[in-house]
Amino acid sequence: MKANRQWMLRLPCVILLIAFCAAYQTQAKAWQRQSEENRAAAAEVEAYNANILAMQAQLAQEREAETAAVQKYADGSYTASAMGFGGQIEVRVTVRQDRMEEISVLKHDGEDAVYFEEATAVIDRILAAQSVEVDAVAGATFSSTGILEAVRSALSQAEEGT
Amino acid sequence: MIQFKQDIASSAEKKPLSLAQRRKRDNRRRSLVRVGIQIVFFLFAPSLFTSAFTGLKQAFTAIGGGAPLEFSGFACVFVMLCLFTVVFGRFFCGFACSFGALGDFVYFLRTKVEKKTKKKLPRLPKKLAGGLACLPFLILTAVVVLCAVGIYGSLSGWSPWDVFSMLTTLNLRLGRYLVGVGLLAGIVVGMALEPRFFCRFFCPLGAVFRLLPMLPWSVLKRDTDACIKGCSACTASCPVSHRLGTEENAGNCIRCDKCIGVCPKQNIKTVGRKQPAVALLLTVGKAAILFLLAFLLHAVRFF
Ligand code: SF4
Ligand code: SF4
Ligand code: SF4
Repeated sequence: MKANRQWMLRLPCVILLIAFCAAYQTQAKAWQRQSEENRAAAAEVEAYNANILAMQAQLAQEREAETAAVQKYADGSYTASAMGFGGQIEVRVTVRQDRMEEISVLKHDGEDAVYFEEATAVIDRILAAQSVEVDAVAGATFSSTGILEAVRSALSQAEEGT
Repeated sequence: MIQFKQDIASSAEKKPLSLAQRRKRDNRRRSLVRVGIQIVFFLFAPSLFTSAFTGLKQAFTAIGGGAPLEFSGFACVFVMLCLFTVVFGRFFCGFACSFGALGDFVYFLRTKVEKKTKKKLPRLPKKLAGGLACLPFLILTAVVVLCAVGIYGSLSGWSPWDVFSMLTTLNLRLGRYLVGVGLLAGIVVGMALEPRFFCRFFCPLGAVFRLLPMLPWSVLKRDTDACIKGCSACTASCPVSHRLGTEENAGNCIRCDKCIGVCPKQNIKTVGRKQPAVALLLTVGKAAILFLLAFLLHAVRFF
């Protein structure tokens, strides 16, 4: 009897909650679209500015042609590992013309699968930023920091290689 | 295990057992199955609890930041556990949660010590325990608010849950987690004072489960009018001191099924109450379903 009553009281609450989540989701998606449009507009302006800066830089560079371009990283693939959540994570970083082209994880024995899948998002961040100075993935801090550290040490090998 | 084999042997001999003996045997089987299930989940899916909780936190962090909700692996585990709890009651808490199992184990050690030394160790005063029972809701609210305003992340070193899940992966770099280590140590001490100490007084995930609309047929029922006068054996045996069939929130019951075999009148209504074998089979079935779901969501690990 009491269980029935409890159920009938709570069911509408849960339905309301789900409805709220759905409404929130549509609203948040709209916000996201809005901010993406803003960002795209800003990026356009920035790209324009960057273009001009690049042209200026090129002129400057041509002027001091004596300073030869130095490569920061030697091309090639580098393997390195670092401590993740529950063990060593091993990654391979492929560098070409100072750009990280590909990062693949070779070994991640100690990670819980659900955490590790979240953590791999950090690879996209690194590639997008072309830098290891990116944020770790919230909720999977250890695994993603492990990936970051491994990439960092692979890059330092690449630096030594030049 | 040896006991279990003897049980089988003795039933094969078909020597009629007295009612009391039969009930004792059934209770022993029941607790063997429970401990077995708890060990399996502790070894293979210890992160279910933290994953689900992270899912909840992520949702509120997203809402606080005005970002869309994400269906990450954590969120899926959280939703799965909630649905499972709606359908089967808090079976996850009673049988599968690694933190709950830890509590059971620590309290079991306490009873062993009590038996050895023949001394009663202290328990929390009843009044205090009753008052603390609403603490999980406060903690849940606090965590949710901290997530929504976005400062939970900077408190990550405080979480005893993270420390616990690190320990289950044998990760011992705990430098950043000193507060969390301290809290966890305090909780373990508390677990020795009261059965299911953390579940009753702290667990924010349990607070969510307590509020879920469990299907009426998955809730244990007791006909209080048919009870033996003055008896409260079921509540006394209950790790969360739940008074079945009263005005108390039915969600407080963690479905550990310890009370079922205790009642001298078999007055606690559940499927298979008259056929213990059926009840055991149902328990194992539920565990199997939960394990399969966890496996599908990649929350199971095989070392
Ligand atoms: S109340 Fe919390 S800690 Fe206790 S068993 Fe349930 S989820 Fe686990
Ligand atoms: S009421 Fe029974 S099944 Fe529920 S928690 Fe207490 S002992 Fe376990
Ligand atoms: S043990 Fe049985 S008879 Fe005693 S209070 Fe509980 S349900 Fe009633």
